[in-house]
Order: sequence, then structure tokens, then C-alpha cells
Amino acid sequence: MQVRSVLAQIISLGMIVTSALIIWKGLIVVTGSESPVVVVLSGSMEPGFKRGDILFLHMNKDPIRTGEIVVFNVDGREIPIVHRVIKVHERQESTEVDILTKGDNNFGDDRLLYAHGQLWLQQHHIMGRAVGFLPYVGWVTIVMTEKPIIKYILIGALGLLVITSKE
Amino acid sequence: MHTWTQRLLSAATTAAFLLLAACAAASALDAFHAPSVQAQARVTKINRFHKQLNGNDKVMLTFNISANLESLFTWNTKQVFVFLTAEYENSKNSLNQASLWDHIIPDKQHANLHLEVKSKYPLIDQGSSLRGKKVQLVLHWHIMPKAGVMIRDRMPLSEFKLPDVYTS
Amino acid sequence: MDWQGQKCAEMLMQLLLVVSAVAAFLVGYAMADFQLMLLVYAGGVVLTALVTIPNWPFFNRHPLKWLDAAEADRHPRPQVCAATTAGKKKIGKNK
Repeated sequence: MQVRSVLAQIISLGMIVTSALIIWKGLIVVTGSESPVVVVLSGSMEPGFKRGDILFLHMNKDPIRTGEIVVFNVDGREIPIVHRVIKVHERQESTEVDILTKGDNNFGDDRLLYAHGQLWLQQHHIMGRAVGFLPYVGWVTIVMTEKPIIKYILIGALGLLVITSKE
Repeated sequence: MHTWTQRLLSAATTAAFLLLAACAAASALDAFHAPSVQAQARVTKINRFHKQLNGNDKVMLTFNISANLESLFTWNTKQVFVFLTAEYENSKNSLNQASLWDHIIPDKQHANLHLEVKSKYPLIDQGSSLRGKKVQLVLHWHIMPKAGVMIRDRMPLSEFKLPDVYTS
Repeated sequence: MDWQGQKCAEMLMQLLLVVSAVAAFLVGYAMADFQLMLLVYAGGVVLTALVTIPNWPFFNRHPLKWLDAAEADRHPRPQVCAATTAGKKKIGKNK
């Protein structure tokens, strides 16, 4: 009987982990963006977005337009950037598009952030457009990435809670 | 529910969920908010119009904007990002959309704009198609909520025609 | 905390939280003030925590009454009864 209750606890722990994974993967499918939720890490979009706010991304076939806040990846940079589109040039005969971005709080446009010699972003650089906003929630992940000890303590405590809790 | 830690956890979970629900409700109400914006903008002066060394046309403009954006604000509005674009078509591109000026409005008290400004960003073409080109001025706004869904909208304003010759 | 108290605490917790969320939303909307909504809700949450988390005497008014040992010894154990419940369990499992 002891073995059985231990197994039951392990299964319930597994259920928690897998349901979190299901929600995340489900969000990816629904929003069409490879990372549906991003945390703002810099102050370049202040006062609109502050460090620690989270953004919900959405990606669909609609063309990118000026004024949208997009999350993009630059070749040779690991961390994606969240900035506003200030210029769009859409080709006549192809679907190719040139996009220029700028942070609301930055003085100049983003050409200095792009790869060396790169003047425009193309569609494939764009990971998603920001559609929703929640303040402060992202501090949890910022604290956990910058102070990994807190992450391990938290995971340990949660695991202990699940294992020891009796129905 | 036997120990106080269990009750604390349960209360915290429920409280967080309800807070999320309240934010979602506040954001959902914004969707029913129908603003009425009055705005005008026209180009008053062309400061400089020339061809850059790389062959692209570049224009510096001065324009007059008056816009009443007070009706955009609701109780869930953190700020409104308002900007003016120039939009036109040419042989290379089906759409050219370039921001000329933008501004952050922090609250309703500052939402009634009457300005004469120089373009914050020069209008730079991809190529040199701007001589004699008719350009549409469009006012856009992007409402950033305290929590929830961001709302974008636009309003085409006046058209203006660039001169047939460069100024320098 | 006794059984009645636990039930009461859980009901009270959910009721208070929902009421404070609704009240906060209405106040915030009426005064067109998002900050106020958060403050009212925070107040509600603190109140809820104070009322339902500590083990107040209020939650311990229905203690379980155990039979004392002397009383139990005077009566024969209900063997038959235990056997039938065991049987029932088996039947349930076989299904």
C-alpha cells in the first residue's frame, strides 16, 4: 500500500508537469507564435512597457503595419527584441517586405541593433506581434534567471509540497 | 484545508485567479468603448527635398496637427501612442508607410493636441519616386492598457502633393 | 480546525474573495480608476486572509466526540458489520 501511494504521488506530480507543457504547446498552436508569451527585459519601450511586464504575442498571415509592436530576432543575437514598427515597404509583385523598427524610448531607429550592414527586417525575422499586456508578472522569471538559487528552492519546495500533501 | 499553509495556498491561488479575471473583464469592457476622434493634419512647409547620395529621395516637412483624442481614454488606459504616417504607392512597392512624427499621451488632460511640428523622422523613399508624388497623411493611434488587449486604429487625413523639383 | 470549521473556512474564503473582486471592479469602474480597483481588491484579499487563514476559535465549535475507552469496552465489537463492509469493498473491486 505504501508503494501504491508513492506511485500515486509521482503520477500527480507528472500530471502537473505535463499539463503545464500542454498549456504552453497549446498556446503555441493557437497564437501561431513560437513563443506566445515574452517578458520585457529592457526599458527601451518605456513608459509603455517596463522591465518585468509580459506581452502576449500573436502571429498570423496579416501583413505587418506601421505602429505595431513586434518581437523580432536579429541574426547573431540570442535575445529577441520588442520594438515598434516605424516604416514598412511592401513590394508590388512579391510578398517581400522591408520593416524598420524603433524603441519608443530610444532616440534613433534600430539599425544599430541589426546585424552589421543590415538595413531592414524581413518577414522571417518577426516572431510575433504583441497583442496583450500584463504588468509585473514577468518579474518572477527575471528573478529566477538572475538568481538561479531561488529557482531551485522554489522547485524543491513545490515538489516537496506535492509529494507530502495527502488528499 | 486543515493546516494554515494549505489555506494560504488556496487563498493565494483563488485571489490571483480572480485578479486575472478582473483585468480580463476591464479589458473586455474596452472593446465596447466607441471613441470619436476629430483630427486634422496638413503639410505647411517643405523644408528640404533632395536626393541622397545613395539615390533615395529624402524630404523634411513641417506640418500642422490638431487632434482631439480625449475619447480614446478609458479607466484601463495607461497611455496612447499617437503617430502620423505618410503612405503612398510607387512602381517598386505596393505600399510605402513611413512614420513622420509620434508622440506619447500619458493622460486625458494632454489628449487635445494643437501642434505645428517638424517631422521627427524624415520621409525617405526606397528609390527616387517622390517628385510630384501624391502622399496620404494618416493619423494612427495605439492604445496601451493598464492590463489586457492593446487597441490600434487609424484615420486617413489630408493628401498632399510633393513638388516636381528638388529644393536643393 | 474541526471538520465543520474547515468547510466553513473554505466557503467563507471563496465568498469573500469573489465579493471583494466584484466590489473592487464596480468601484473601479464607477470611479474610472484602475488603481482604486487594485487597492480595494488588495484590501479584500487581506481581510479574507485574516478571517480564514488563522485558526480562530470560531472554527473549532464542533469538536469530534470520541467514545471514551471505558464506554467502548462495555459493548461488544461489531464484528459482523466490519465483515459486511469488507465484503462490499471486494464486490466493488471485482466490478
